Amino acid sequence: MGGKTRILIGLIGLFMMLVWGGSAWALDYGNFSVSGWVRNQIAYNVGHANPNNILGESADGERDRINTKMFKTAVQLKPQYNFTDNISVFARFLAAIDRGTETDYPVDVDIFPKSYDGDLMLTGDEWAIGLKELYMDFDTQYVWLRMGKQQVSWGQSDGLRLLDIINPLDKTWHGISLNEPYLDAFDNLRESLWMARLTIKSPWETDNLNDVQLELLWLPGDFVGSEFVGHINPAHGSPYNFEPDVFNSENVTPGGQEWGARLMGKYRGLEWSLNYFRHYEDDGLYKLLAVTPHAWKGVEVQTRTYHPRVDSYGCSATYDDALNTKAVYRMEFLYQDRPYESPGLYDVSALGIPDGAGGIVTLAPTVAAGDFERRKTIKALLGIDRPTFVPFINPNRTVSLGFQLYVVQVVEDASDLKKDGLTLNGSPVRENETMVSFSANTGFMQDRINPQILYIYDIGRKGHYLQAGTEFRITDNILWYVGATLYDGKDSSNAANDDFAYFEWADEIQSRITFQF
Amino acid sequence: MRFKKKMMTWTVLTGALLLLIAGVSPVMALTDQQAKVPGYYGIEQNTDKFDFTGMPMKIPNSEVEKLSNGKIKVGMVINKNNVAGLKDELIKLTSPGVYNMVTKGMEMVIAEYKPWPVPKAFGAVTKANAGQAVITADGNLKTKSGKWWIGGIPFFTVDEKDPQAGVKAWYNQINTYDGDDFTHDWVSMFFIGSKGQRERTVEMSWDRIFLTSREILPPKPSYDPKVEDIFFKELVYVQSPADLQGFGNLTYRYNDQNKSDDSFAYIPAMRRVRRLTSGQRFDAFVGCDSAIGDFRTLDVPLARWNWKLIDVQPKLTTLFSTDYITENKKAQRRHPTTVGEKFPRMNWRLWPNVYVIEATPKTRNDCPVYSKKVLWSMGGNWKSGLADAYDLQGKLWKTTQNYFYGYGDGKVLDLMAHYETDFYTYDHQADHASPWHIDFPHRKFNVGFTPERFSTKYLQRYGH
Repeated sequence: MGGKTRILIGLIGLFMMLVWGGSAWALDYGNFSVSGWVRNQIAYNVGHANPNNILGESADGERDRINTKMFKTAVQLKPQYNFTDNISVFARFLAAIDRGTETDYPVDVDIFPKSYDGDLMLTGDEWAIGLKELYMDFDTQYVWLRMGKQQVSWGQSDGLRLLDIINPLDKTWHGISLNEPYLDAFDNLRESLWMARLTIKSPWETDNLNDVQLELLWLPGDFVGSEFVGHINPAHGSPYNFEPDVFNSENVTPGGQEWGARLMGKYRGLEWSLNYFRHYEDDGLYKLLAVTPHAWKGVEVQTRTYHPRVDSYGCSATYDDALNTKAVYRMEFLYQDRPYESPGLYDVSALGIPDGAGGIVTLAPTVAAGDFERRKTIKALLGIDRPTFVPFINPNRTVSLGFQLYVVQVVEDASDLKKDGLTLNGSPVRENETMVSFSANTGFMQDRINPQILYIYDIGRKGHYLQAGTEFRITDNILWYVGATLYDGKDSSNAANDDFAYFEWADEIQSRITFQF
Repeated sequence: MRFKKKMMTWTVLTGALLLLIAGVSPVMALTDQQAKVPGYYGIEQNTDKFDFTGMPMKIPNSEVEKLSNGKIKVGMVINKNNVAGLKDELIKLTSPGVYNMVTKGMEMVIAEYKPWPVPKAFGAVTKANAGQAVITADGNLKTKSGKWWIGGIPFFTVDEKDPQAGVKAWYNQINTYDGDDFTHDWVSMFFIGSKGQRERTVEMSWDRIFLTSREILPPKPSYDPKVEDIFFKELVYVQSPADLQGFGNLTYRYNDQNKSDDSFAYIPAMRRVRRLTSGQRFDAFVGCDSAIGDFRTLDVPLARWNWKLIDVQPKLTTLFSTDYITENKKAQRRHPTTVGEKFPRMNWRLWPNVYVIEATPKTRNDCPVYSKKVLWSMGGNWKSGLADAYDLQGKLWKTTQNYFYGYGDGKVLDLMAHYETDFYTYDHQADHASPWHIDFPHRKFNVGFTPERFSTKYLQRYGH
């Protein structure tokens, strides 16, 4: 399809939206209802070329920049049928096509996720159509059971994930800036999993203790229609790829069950939860197998990705000081005896990247499969939400201000862990990682114009991340977001570190237009 | 390639069909006038089920003329063409806010007086508990034995000379008949621009259960003797637009009027219940002209405000404000309006003794946007129909109103439920309005909810 045709179809679509925008609503026929949206997302690169896409260099040796990193159109439908007040079935279908593929890459690259085996099937090389969620609810006064493919989110943090570890993330696009809701909602970034979720509400309450619930999760593992899914990383060669395109990794999928429990309630002014999740590491850890010559990459690193078992213990709490400081205070804590890669497992820095036929380094595996280093690790977050009237900005609407302090600390000696080069998740071990975030948003013209900003500062590495944008509610059915993502920092040259400065190549401006019904 | 082409075709066709159905369905809906149920029918047919204590059964139509120097008469329509000659009389019988709205295009239909009773069972509780209510040193409403209030109107007779008359009249308003629980299956909130055009629509449901001060349904007066600090629990959940669909809010309101609510919201995109601060009660609710603190004309912890009774006067009020209401779920829920959809065109009827109260926040922290609110509590039925809010410079800013339709007819509509056609806010400075329409057939009182429904479990289950 040519560019003009695409523009013409886009304009016709936009016209249809405007025509129907004033009256179209979600369909609601008795017990059946369906809602959804049609959405177009565009991301345009204003940074450098992605240094991880090692090919496509022009004559001067500079990497070509992929300008239109995303041109994705997606349709979502959410049908729901209520058999009774207590029993219902819910589904979410998604179809998407991304025309923002890199044209000068030696092989075809789909930016949209490819890894929804059996669920989100690619039709040809471009359309992806699949079932994002499908579950049934059985609800009684004290017991609620949800069975099927679903998402569960624990914790109290914004944008940063501590206890939100049940569902892995699809990082294939915007994977390095997972700061919803500005770019996209987590329900699109999270990968739904087959599981059973049972919630039991305590029938006993007192003036001090309310809403006590026990939530149990069971993920069947390798079962009919179900298997382990970890984080999905961007395809090599894609605009959001954040590791050098020299890997050929084989995923070792664990087949065991996962399960979790959460006890939660409210004691006086304090809302609390205690969490436990026995699971597999979603990031995965690399084990080096071999390094082989490759026709156009020069070298290819054969690796195997393992997902070791992890026990995660956590808690969260919130307190609303409504009368005095008018702020909500949030706390989240996670403890793991976490697996890390040791230098012997994988060390890309030892390889070097050959600049031609010569200089290929071959390594032999040094550590047996599953032999990882575990270190006791804590993650903690403190947050404050404080809506504030700023009369000269907006007399009707508060500006919602949010502050967070986020700390990751390896509490055991980590000197023998791999600290440079990339891990599968892009993050080498840091014994301490401290970040602060600030967010603000407000609404003008009855929330038809919603400016919003999120800023994160990495104290240790002096890196900055900024996401700023505005959503325009053109009608009830048409929403348009325009914004930008910018990275900056002290040291942008250290490819081994995933600090914000390094991601300067990912600076971009975005547009997202949604027609919803 | 063929498969791809076919897929494209079917996607486009399906999308077009969905758009067509979605666009056409509201057009096929009924109008209000296609299903007429007069608001006082149920009361007239079932007088034995209602208690009319504290209000006259009849007031002659000439009373309105007498109070307005003969200028305002039952049957007339006050509009911007004739309001200039009525300014003083209209302000005296309503408020400066109402006068300003008429000058901008609102029309008022002056109608005859009708009494607004309470169900007999509620009236009996009021009588049984008469004389029991006291206001404690910390500003709370309790019984003489030190318990939280046990139901009914606490101060049925309020002496104008009583220094606590203002706060007592407002405690009466808080404890006016609302059932022991209720549900509104469909509330439409409209955002109306200065030309009367509809800019936004949000549709939602609203359920509440009272855990204390229960008058009708067992167990009473409290649902659970171990949970008596909570006055009520409330659930609000949004049905449309699609980006807000599934958003839900759970609120605990406490009997202690020195305490603010606890508020939890389910955010579908995050799949998570988040705690909200209930401290900023005057933040625009979903961006509309009303704030949570404006509900029922003023909804705040009483002990954090001062309540001064200004006067007790006869006023034109919005009881039985429409002649007919919608009984069909598919109807458009449109009521008569002027200037597009900006102003409701409603009946205004005399009420003989309206307590006019000036409410001021004790500190700026309790309300950073208003200097004061002047509000009504109607003696006898103790409902509030109107409040004028003033900004920090003392200028008129917003008028908040409840337009009361009546009780149900006992057939299509619940006889024991009273109905509000609109909760309405007009922003005088921005010339902008936010009427909320309630879908009557799905408003029910005394449903028999249990407190378990009002939990974060339900928020998550409903919100998906």
